[in-house]
Amino acid sequence: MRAPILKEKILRELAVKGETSVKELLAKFKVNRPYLYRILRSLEGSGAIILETGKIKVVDKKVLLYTWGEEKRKIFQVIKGATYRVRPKKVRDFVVFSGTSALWVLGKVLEPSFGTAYIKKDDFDRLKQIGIKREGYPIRFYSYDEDIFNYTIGIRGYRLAIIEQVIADSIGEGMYTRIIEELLEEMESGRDSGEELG
Amino acid sequence: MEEIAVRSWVNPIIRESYDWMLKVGRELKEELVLVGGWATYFQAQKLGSRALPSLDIDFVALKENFRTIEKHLLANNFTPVGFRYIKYYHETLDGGLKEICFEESKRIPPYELRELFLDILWDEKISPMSFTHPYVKVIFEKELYDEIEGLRVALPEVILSMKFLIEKNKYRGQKQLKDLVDIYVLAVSPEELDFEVFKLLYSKEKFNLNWVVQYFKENEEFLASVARELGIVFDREEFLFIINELKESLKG
Repeated sequence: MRAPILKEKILRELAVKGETSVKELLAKFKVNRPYLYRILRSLEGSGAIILETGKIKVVDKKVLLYTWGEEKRKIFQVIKGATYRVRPKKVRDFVVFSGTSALWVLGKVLEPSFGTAYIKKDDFDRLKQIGIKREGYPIRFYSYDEDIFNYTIGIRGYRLAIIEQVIADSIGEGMYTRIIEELLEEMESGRDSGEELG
Repeated sequence: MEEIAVRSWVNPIIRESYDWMLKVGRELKEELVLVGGWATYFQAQKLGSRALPSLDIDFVALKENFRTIEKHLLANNFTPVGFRYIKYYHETLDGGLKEICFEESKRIPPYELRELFLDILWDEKISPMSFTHPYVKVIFEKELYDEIEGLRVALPEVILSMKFLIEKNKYRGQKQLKDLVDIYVLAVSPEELDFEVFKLLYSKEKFNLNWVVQYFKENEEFLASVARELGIVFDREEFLFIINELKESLKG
């Protein structure tokens, strides 16, 4: 099985923008038209988007994010990432926290253990140096998509992936649904915790 | 968690405490150093973190400045009672506070009476009722304070060491939970603590960190909920790591 990385990029774009077009997606992701239409028709079928004369509108973000979460589950099955035990404080300058580790920063769970974090390939040596001490919590680090660094928010001194990515990654990790539902409700009611766009 | 619940800016006695802490601390800047809950509040802000506001006002001072300090406090209507200085308030029906004198306070029903406590810990005994603290002299000698908001505020390491000594007092129930919150906030603040300051204070009076770890473990969920309210991250491993690191450094 191949990891649906390109599909994740498209789902992220839809979740962030809400409205876009086939033309824009084709230009941005260098994806072939039949593959893109297959993804869009499937999303339309589940009621996540409306596709009309090349225009795309997200009409049910919850469905879109659950679809993304399911794709994320497939990605995590293929790309295992590297697990290091670290003190989050020591890596926060160069990683983006997502999934359970972002839920921990948001105060939704007590520990970030086995949560997701993204790191740039160039920073892996720094991570290894810190990870060698084996202090703190085990966190899974991924570097397959550096695009994530363009979609971040700053909260409580940490850099987190945008909330849509956090939700999708949490579902991908197999996170308990109640917390996800809570986050979705907060997202829909527009509540935040003094976040700064990254 | 009543003790924590009353520590809100909505509570008028907190605002009164804040105003008097600033006024007294600024006007007696050369004679007093702020410690305790308000010092934690300021240092947490300086370190880019957040702490709960305080009810009581706590300072440390040298015996040689007693006359100047007492004169100033009496002129500002603080009543000396035992080792403390107290201001009395009548809580009005609309929730406001009206300052009253000690004599009037006796005529007010207890549920309408509010008290503001200002405590001073001295380097040497002023009277049989007064309290001394083993760190006071060195705080002034080594200038273990920062200037924040126009007053002298003890360094985080000083505040923490003083709180670590709490074990020597008897268990104080919910009041001790507030101390635990303060300890957590300062210990995991974004900046590194200076262990040399801890070593210096430890040489004057030893504190035991075992109770801190035990008490922390017993109250983790409570602390996590307070951290959430404060908008800071609850980092269990970081806290235990720092306390352990401190323990090791004190052995050396």
